[in-house]
Amino acid sequence: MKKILFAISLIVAFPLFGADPGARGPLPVTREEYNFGDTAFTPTNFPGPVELLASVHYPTGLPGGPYPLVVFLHGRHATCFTGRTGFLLWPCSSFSAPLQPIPSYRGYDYIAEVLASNGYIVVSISANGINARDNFVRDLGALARAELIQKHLDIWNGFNTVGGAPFGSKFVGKVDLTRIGTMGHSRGGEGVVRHFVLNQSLGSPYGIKAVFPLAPVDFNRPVINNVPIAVMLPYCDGDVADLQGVHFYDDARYNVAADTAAKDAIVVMGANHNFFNTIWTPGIFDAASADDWNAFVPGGRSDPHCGQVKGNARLTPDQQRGTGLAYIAGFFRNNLGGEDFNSQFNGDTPPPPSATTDQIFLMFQAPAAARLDVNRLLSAGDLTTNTLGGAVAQAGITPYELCGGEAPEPAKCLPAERNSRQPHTTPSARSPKRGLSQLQAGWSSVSAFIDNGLPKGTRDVSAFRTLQFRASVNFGDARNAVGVPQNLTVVLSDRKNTVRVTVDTVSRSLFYPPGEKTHVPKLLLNTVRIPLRAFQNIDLTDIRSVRFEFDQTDSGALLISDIAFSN
Amino acid sequence: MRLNRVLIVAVCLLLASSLYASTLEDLLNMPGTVLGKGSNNLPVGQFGVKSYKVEELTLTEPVIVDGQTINAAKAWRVTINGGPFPVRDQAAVISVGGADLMPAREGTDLSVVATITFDQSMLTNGAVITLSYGEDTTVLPEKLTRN
Repeated sequence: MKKILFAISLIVAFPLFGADPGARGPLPVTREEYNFGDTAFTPTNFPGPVELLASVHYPTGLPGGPYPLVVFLHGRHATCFTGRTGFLLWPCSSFSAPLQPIPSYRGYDYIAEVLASNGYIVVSISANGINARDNFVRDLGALARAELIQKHLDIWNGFNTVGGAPFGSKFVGKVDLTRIGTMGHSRGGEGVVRHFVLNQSLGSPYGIKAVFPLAPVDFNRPVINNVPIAVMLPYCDGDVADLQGVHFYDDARYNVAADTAAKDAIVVMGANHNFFNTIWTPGIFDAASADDWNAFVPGGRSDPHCGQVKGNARLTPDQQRGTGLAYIAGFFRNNLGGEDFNSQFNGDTPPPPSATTDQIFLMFQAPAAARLDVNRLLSAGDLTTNTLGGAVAQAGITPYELCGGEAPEPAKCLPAERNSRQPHTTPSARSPKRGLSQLQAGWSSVSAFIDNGLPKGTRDVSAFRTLQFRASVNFGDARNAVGVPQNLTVVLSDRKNTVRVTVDTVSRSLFYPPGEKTHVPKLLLNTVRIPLRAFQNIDLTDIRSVRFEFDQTDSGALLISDIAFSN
Repeated sequence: MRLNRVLIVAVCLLLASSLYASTLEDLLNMPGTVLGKGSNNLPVGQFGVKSYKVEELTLTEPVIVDGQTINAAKAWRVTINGGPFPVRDQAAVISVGGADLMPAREGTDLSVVATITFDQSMLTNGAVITLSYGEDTTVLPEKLTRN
């Protein structure tokens, strides 16, 4: 009964749905293209020229403005086609038989439509010329993609100031180049991160205010800070199956002091790599398209979560696009448009209806000024003295050690498992960087606990709304029953009182990772976020300790990181 | 006067070398001498891998890779046929004798993947040839046999 009342109080405190960022807005939308030719631009040291072609969605008639600009960049895919057959070359006209370009850049029109109807100009860039030759350069095209984005921004600077073909003066004064967001899919995902670095290195001529890598590669491990970043990770990705893009989140967390920006990783259960792009989706565009999980993953079709067996948890292409729409549109509306969808991105509200599924889990880190890190769990010293300088104690925890971070930590937390099953530590093709430092913890008694003391001067947490940490159920430890979620009690103590909250009353993040074939299950340290109001009758100005009591199950094992009070 | 002539010749040679440099793409398409070739015709693994071909390329021009000029007399091309090979974001990597070569590039019609190496030390008789995307690896049914 107590639990039910508490659940009701949470629902009242955190309304289920606000406005849906994936909903179409009031403005009619016009789509046009500009095309300066298939060989109009050559990125630095890139072995061939590429096209300057893009699709533009904007509010019809541009009645207001200047509007924020959102730039989309697709990933690597076949470049040309005839019938249902794909080819790889550029330009397509250089082939001996007639071929058409594959319009990968049109694959996100469903998001562009919604954003434009809410007052954004959305430019989706074609990058077939890069796709045809990017395996010839060491960084696999990251810089070329960054330069291509910058070139398009230069073009838009021209459209906005003096105008130019094919639009004449239509966009003059209508584009806010201080409010730009970028979304890149797959190799385009690393491309938008690399672009942020490039733009900064040029003195930030354009105001990049939000970066969204979608199912990205992270071959080179660029790290960006002081800009909101959200990485979307499809659990059933059959192409970038190791979900290496989670490094964009992990690497950025403590990279600079006083980081002003929030970070997100959004795990979409049942989603594959390709269905976010309609042109890569069979049934919509049949040349060179595939359900990557079923087509690329050895044994993948028989997986109970990601495969084709009865009862699988795969999203349909429509559903998957819903998740992309809800989070990509929401991210840019939140960070460029001044609308408030923060609760969708910190996990305080469930996914909006446009997301079509609630099987979405978040990793969330607030800006530095909006959190108090209790224990970052970055090095062995953090096992005895936490980030605040407080004592760390434990009893009955075996193992109790760090893995995945800098040496001497072991590079992988589960040495016998594939990298694709532990994305936080998967190696990068072009960087020696290590992965996420995690506390590997297990228990075989309900008396086990880990206690983080808060020293004097750090005990007033009343400015924060939540206590949060990241955790994943360790599928490699037999103390976790297969398919059964884990649970634990989080205990706050002040000078007089001790108050307990069991995690399962406020969070679904301690699920047992589903799947059993090849690249799944996966360790993904999602955020467990506990509202401080759940700890009733505690003095938030005088918290003495944060204790995890492993008293809800007889035994188990978790990987844990990033314990913090947060807004 | 003599110095000027030398300088002019040097500049001309420099221009000529940059005008007549090859790219990796050129090397994937130029004729070569077959050093070894398999004959398996039964598709294997997720992408229907069949067989391989190793060719020696005689270079008459420098090769530009990542903006750097490589002056080499020879290069070697390793080609795997089968497919169709998908154009993926995860790079295709051909390995010979356990050594990963540069990321492979899919052929125009996606029926081959091929890569170039400037080091032939791993191209030895009996070497195992694999094609990998991340950790998904297909071992070719035939080992390398040089003519």
